[in-house]
Amino acid sequence: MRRRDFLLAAGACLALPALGRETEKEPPRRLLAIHVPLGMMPQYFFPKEGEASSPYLGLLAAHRSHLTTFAGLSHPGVDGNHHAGQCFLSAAPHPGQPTFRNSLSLDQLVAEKIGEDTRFASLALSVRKGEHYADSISVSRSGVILPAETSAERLYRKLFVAGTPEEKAAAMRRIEAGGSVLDLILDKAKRLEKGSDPGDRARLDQYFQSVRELEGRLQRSIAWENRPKPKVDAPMPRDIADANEVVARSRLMFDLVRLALQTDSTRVVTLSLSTFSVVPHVPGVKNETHGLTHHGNEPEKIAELRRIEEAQLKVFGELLGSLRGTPEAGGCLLDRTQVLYGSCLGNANSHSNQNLPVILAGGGFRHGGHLRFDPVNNAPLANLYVSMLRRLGVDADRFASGTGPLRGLS
Amino acid sequence: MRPSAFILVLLPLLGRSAPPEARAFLEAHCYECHDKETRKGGLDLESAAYDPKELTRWVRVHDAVAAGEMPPPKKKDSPPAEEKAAFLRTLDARLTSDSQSTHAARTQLRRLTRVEFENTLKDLLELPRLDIQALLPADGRVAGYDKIAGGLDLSPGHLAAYEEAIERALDAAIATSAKPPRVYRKRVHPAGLFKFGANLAHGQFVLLKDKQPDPALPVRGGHEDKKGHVGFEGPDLKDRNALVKSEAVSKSQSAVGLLNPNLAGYEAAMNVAPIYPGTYRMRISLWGFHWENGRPNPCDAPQAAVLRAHEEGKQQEGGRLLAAFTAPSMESKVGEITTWLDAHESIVFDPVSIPWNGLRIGQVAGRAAKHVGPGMAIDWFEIEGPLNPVWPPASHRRLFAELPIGRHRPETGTAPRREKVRSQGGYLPSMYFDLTPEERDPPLETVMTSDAVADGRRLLTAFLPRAFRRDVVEAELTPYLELLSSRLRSGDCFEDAMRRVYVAVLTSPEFLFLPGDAPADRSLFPAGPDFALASRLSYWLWVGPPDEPLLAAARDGSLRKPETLRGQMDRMLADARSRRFYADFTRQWLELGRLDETVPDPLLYPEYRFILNEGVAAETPAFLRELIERNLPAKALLEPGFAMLTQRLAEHYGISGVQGVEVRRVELPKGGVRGGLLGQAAIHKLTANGTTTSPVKRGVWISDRLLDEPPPPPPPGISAVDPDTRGTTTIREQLERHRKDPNCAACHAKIDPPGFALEAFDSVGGLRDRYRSNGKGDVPALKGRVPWKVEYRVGPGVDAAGELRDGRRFDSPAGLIALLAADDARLARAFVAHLSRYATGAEVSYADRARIRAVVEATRGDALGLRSLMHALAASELFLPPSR
Repeated sequence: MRRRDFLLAAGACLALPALGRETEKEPPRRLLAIHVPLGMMPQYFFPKEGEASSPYLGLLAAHRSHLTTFAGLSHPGVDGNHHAGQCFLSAAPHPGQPTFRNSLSLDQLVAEKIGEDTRFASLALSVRKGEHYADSISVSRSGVILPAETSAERLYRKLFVAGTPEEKAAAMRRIEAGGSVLDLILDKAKRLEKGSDPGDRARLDQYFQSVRELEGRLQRSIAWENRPKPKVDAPMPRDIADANEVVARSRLMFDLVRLALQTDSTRVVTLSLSTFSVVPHVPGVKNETHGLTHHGNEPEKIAELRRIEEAQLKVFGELLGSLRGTPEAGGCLLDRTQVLYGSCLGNANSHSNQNLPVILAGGGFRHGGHLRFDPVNNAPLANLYVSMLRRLGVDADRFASGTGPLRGLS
Repeated sequence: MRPSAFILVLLPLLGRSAPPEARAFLEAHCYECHDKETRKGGLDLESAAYDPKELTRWVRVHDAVAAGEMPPPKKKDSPPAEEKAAFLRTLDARLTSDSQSTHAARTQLRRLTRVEFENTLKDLLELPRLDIQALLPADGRVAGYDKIAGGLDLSPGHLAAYEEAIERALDAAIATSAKPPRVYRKRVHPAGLFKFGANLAHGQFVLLKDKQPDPALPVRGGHEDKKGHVGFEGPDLKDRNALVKSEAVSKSQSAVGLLNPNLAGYEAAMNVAPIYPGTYRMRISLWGFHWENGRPNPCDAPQAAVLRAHEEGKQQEGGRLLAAFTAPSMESKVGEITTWLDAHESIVFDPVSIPWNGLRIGQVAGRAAKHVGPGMAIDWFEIEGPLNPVWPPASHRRLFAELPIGRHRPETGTAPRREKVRSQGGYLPSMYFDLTPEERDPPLETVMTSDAVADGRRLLTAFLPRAFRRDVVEAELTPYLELLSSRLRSGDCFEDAMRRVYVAVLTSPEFLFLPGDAPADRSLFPAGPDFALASRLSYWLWVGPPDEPLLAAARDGSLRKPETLRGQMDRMLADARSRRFYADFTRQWLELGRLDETVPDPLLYPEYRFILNEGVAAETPAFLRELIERNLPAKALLEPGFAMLTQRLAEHYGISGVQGVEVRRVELPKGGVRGGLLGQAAIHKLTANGTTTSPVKRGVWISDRLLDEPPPPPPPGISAVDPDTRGTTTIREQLERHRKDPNCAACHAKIDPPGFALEAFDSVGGLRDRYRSNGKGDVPALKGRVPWKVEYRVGPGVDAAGELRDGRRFDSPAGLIALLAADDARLARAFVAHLSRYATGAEVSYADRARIRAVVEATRGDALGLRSLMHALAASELFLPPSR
């Protein structure tokens, strides 16, 4: 049997998780990580000494018992102001330096572990396409930022719209054709590697491994091609053309994320809410966001920026509300979904990457508190990621610069 | 074995402390501060192990002593000259030999970078335009360069992205009909255009005939309220709307004058969008004026306008620049641009030299009747295309040669995929309405063959050597021909089957990788090492693949000869493709890629608009081109005696007499700051953040990019400066700590001073003697004397004086420039170092320093001319791949 035929046959028999989770199996655990690249003003986000709430956290008061806030966390060695956006989930140090190499992000590690059972191992989303360090926080093992989907329409199609029989047949032909190409170049890669220089072998090996991995994906896509997509009540959304409607776009994406999680289309989602080069459509806002974040302590600019940040937090509150309002296994969707909401900037005006604003909601943790760590010698944010990994069922003692689970969180 | 040799052999085994030859010197002059206990600045030289694989620290020690920075001249007596020289010689020899042996092959095997991949596909398929970089993941960088193997990983994501990009390129290249698409020709008169009509009614635009207001539509005025304001409404609007829709105006061939820039992108759309992608010729007749007293008057200098193409559905966002045009005062001039347009792109006009002061004309008192300001008029706009002097186009023939195109017959295989011919999405009418029913729903046509395998072999025999950038042997065709047969057996039509083959070729390692210096890399280039040299040259000077003349020189062995090498390089620099080198190299060397990272605060810098940004971005690459084309000396990097300017950029710099949107060379008097790198606005802007400037950032840029002496990163835990633009404290005052605290001063006494000199330039490259602020301060003198609205104030004075680490002083940027330009050998060495990273794709090791010095010395006769430096680099062992 030709190798190609064998693989095709194997793909068709690939065992996929049984349809319908209403069976005895436990509902899955999930991760949703949301990044706000331009930060949140610290004077309004963090509760003052002795206080329980703050002007911004007050907006989320309805969900206080379902979330924990943190102060005094950051990634050691991650500087470079906005460039730190690419390291929010990977904690790779010194992103601004010319020698920077990124590393595997939290969500991609989780996707490796629990992504096999869903149609999409993970989804990287964004409300707009702009600066590379603000577009996506998902980073592959080889340090490549995974591009984020910006179109709600395209995402909906991907998740819920079945192809016609002709489209499916065409898809199968494409997969098959793709497989033949992979066969050919795999052969070449093997031959080349044999005679290659030791110094170069690592690079040729990357090529070889990449082809192998694509083959693996091909097999899985054959299996998923044959399986119907979930049905949802919500109609297909229309993309919002105006980039300034960043709040409305966020809402649209949040809705789709909830649907994707609810239908178990994926269990790992990242979302970037970039407002770079945008004048958000919020009453009283007339200036571009990034410029406002360099307010130089001018009161009018601060007031305008506050409107934007509050609008964003309100939409986040709506998301929490919708996750709480979606029942699942005797509880709600939020119980088994960890939602991380934070920024790589502790203070956008000074470009500080210390003392980052971070919120963790859901996932079954014990919430309601505000955990403070040392504002001068911050605790590693990646410790929180270790805690999150363990709660997701991943056996981890360390992650990037995280040396163990975060103190005080259970 | 002799005792000293014995020690030298033992050393790598011991791996402890500094080389013993050096230890005596360190004990005498360095341990006072840098021993185990004191560890000044965190540096402990006593117990530091000497690891031949980690030389950075010892290189720094060498450089600091060589430059006279250590021991600190003010705190200690300098070591005796003989002792210091001996120490440096010893350390230098050590570092040279160790850095040599740790580097296996200098240039390593690597994949194509993103931009190289796009250019290679484009050139290979002879496509006029290919825009696929955004599909590919960003490349990693080493020392700021994406050409170095260490930064270029390859992941499954890359392969998948390559495949998608290749499919797009094939879609663009393959002809889908036997006859070319119909050529569409149209002349548009602006008065009848959709948005123009609305603006004419409101009074933002005016109808003009023979350069005066056209009585068919009176200039709008009157109906102000008590405060002198008018809104968008008005009792006259109903009648005006009717008048604008009437034939007298909507079918008029009169010109339309625009008094506003094109806000939000759709205000001045030409209402044309191509149905077929292709090359289109566009012409536009324009003139500029100064509007006053309700009519056009001559203006002092020409106006400028651009045409943009917006992606379908994105009329309000972005848009790509097609061309800029100069509109002379009161005189119609026809501008022309022939370029590729994708299907359904909408063409939009923008009079970019008209400043916008926050209100539309329709909203201010008196509207057009009382408005005073610059304006631009369009007489007509014409479009013709798609132009196909040859059919099928060259791109198709690269893939399918002269094979005929005819109706697809189902028995030959499944039908190839086709995009439907359709109208543009959105509200603008399009060329679709002029198509016949058969053009709207054309029959399915595809490439025809009577002997698929034989034709496939013939096509591949021509394509493979081009794709692999070398000669190929018969056996290399086999796997691809097998793939072709297999796809045909699976039922693919010939076009689809060949597409699979082309995708396989273009994702093969021979296409994706460029060989390094290792002998084993021959497996990628079995035909001979000179093909590797041809590629190395073309990816340097064209950021793309070699062409036939270059490959011919590689084939017959002449490329390695010095005269041929020089001749080919000169030919390549004169070729249009060298534009890519100037753009890509300046992006990486001078960090021009960061130019658009920030948007200047519109209140602090109201003068910074699109047309200025265009000039700023164009100056630096044009400057480097001029230097290299004329082989000007290294010194000219800083003191050229000329500048590359557009009209708007010249105005920004206070240089008069320059007119038009094109970049051109303007001679400058001696002693000025403009023209050289340190006087260019692009450099000032990319080292600022749109609001505030940072001497540290600029100082680092000068050290790293200009002098190739990158400073070490800041120690961890340093809190960032919280900038304050309320006008009371200057950045220099906030950085006092760098001077006062000796721990900071160790590095910052060297980094900051050049940055202080550049404080004389603001965030957008303008000269200033006082800082602008949005808070306290005085009203600037130029308020009311410039076309834009000035609302900022000016505060504390700028202090641009400083002292270099070696004690030389300057009190202005001109002083700093003169000091740095004096050491032209240093500038040349830094230029060659940076160029070598780009051209050879390898980091500069310690051992390379001697080679770089040799390259510079070789050009003494040409006064260190930049082109001569490039020739010398190409002839050196830094660049040439080993021959057998």
